[in-house]
Amino acid sequence: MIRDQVIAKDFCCGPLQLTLRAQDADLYDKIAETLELYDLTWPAPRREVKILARRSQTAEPAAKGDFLRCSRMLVDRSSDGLSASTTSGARAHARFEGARESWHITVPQSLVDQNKLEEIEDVLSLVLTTGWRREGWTPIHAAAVVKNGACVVICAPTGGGKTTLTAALVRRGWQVLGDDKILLRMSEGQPIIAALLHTFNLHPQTRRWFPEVGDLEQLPRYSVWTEKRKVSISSIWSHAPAQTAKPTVLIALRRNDEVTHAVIAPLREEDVLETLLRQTVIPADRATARDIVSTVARAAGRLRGLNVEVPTDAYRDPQFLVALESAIESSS
Amino acid sequence: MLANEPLNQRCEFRPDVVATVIDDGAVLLDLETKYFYRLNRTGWAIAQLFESGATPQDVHAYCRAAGATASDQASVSALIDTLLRDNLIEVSDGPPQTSPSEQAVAIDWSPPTIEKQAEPLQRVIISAFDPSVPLVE
Repeated sequence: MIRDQVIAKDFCCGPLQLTLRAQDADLYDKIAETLELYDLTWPAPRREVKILARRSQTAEPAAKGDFLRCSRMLVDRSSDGLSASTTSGARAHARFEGARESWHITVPQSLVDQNKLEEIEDVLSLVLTTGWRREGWTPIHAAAVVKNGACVVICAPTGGGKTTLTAALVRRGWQVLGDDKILLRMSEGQPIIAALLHTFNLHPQTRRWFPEVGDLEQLPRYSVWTEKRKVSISSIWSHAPAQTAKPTVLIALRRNDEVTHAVIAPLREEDVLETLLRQTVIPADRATARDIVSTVARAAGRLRGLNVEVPTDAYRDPQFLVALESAIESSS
Repeated sequence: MLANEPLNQRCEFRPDVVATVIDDGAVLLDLETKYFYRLNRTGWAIAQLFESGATPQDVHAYCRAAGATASDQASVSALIDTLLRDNLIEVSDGPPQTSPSEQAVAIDWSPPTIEKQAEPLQRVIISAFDPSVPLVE
């Protein structure tokens, strides 16, 4: 029998104030490790979210995915909130009562023993994105940098080079709001972007172009699925972190080793919207989807777009970044 | 008019279709197929008629009143055909919620357009924060 030894702590994750209560230290550590990544303290007031995490004693039925279908997690709507299940048997139930929300997470012993942090991260990404949306923010899977009033949202799929281009611009004096996770909302008709974390997920090969990142292979891998390492932005580029900005330009970034030099071209207005929508998780729930699409569509209407195709070694060519900054300036 | 238009049958948006108004029209997202569509202002003004359960005949009458010429009616039919073919609207048996004329908005007439995106959004994604295609693990 597992002894009930509740450990509790508060975490600030952007506009959320999370209170985590876990049944034991092992489970607490696994969850805290993810929540501590979102280390930016936003000004109060913050939405309160309670998480109670326990080891699961019995198997519960799996979700069907009528709200969201992820590779390792399915999410359903329930009568008073959401219900999720992961491949290895973690479960999460959210209950929304007005502005308050509470999550009850159960984790099988085997998942903790095997150190399958990815599934715990999946559940926590649902907790966080749900809270951020309920607070009026739309999570966007994109990078964002800002300099001299120009704020660029960099869009690419996972592994598409968002972090590398972000780092390349940071070296030229740009500040960064995030390399793959940012929040978006409309305020008085204008889009606003806010930062969630000030770490980069950098691939060790980044050192080929940016030697100041050091030998990243000395650091532990971010997860078993990637070579990337998590590093504090300010530990490498102390000027770099930024908190909020008004986006002006969107870059649709694509790796293309069939071109010898980077290609920069204007992006059609309708492609700006499509690019931003493709970086946004849209659950199959009418009210939630309507809010998200509305925010993204109105924000996209305020952005000028650039299509950027880069071969792997584009960052060896200083003229590429000069040309890109010139195109950004013309578009802002 | 196209042969497959149910001229006298009321049609309504499927509950899984979400509409968002933007500066120059609207965006429709089908939550089931994950396809999204862009409508120009006229296209959206027409599509809105189906929120109250208009018939295609109502729509053609509205367009004539708004200034559509006989040749414009082909683009109106093409719009209705796309909405029906992609199941964005469906034939409704229930009573109308409001009269289509109450739902009608005044517009500066131009031929309606609807543009379907070539690829739908992902149905299965990496995580609640990452809409990318999951990698094979």
